Amino acid sequence: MKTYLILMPIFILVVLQSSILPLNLLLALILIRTALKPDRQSFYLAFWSGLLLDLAQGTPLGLSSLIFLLASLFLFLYSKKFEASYAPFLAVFVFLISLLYYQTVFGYLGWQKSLILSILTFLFSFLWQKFLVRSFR
Amino acid sequence: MLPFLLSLLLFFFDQKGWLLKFKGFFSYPLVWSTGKIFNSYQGIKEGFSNLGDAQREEQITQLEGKLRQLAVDQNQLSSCLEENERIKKLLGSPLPPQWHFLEARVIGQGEQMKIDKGQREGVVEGMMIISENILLGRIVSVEENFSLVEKVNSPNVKIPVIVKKPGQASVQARGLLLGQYKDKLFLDRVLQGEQIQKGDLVITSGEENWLPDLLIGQIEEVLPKTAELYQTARVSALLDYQKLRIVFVVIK
Repeated sequence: MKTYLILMPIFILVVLQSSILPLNLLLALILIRTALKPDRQSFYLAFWSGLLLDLAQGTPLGLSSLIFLLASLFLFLYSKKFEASYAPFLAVFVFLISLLYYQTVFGYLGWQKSLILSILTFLFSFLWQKFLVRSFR
Repeated sequence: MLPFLLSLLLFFFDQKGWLLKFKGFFSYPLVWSTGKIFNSYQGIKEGFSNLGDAQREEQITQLEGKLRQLAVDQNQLSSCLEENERIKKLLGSPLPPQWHFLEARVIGQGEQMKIDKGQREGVVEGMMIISENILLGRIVSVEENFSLVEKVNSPNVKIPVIVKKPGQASVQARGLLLGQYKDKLFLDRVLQGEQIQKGDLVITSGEENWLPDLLIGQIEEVLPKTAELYQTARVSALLDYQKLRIVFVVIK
């Protein structure tokens, strides 16, 4: 998968998330991307998308980047020994990171939103592995 | 390693307030586009709702407007009554300060409400946001060209309130209003001996840096009494926060 293909969805999600979308889909996208392709570029994507999100949302600059980076780093290290793109694992991981994100950035545990996000992550990563992975290889 | 260091540095500088101009410059196109998207989305949403049953929708909107106006009038009346009584009793006591308002457009409804007025227009953290004498929230973050508002239904928000019967000056009860999202609010810390019932108005008491006498909602249901010291109630907001386009910042 070409890296630049993910830049447009990142920008769209940043704009949507800071205007009308109550879900942190950008976090899920970054983590799914890292799980599917754990490389050094994941860190740069996590950094820049977090920065863009902070700029658009008005949250403290660097905070989203830091959370995205830490989560990506964990996935990167995990993927060296285990299968990080395993759908149930990824869903639980996204749920936990999303809870951490809401607590750190907004001061409360957005567990309902985190749950929806983890279900979406599960569905996406499951479908990706079942049907889409071959066409992108 | 570099992105981690950069993030930490940026966070540190931002906390010190050294990046305000930088943020203002780079966030401008993003804020502009989020504003455009939000307005288009609101337009589309309204368009769709009108498609369903335009006449009924209009009637409901009109009735909701009238209901709000009535609640506002009742609150103003009761405030006037109370004020008169106070003035009669305490001649020479200071009148409430004059408030000034700054009109602002809502440009985003993500986790927090985003308005198009920021530091440039003199907005500072802690200012209240209202619409038709109804409290919507408080400014929690100010950038150069926009601000973030923590709405009263946010789970973080705790507002000391008083409960009044519509059209009456006397305070029925005191309590603490807690946000619960989706325009739902929760009234807690009302002593068991105090009388509250469906339809009572929930108004800011003016404590903990919240402005006084601002309407927040109406009691929807008093929850069954338990053995606890306090009684609780569900409160419905008087406005649909998601539909707001224009709000006012209160500048004292």
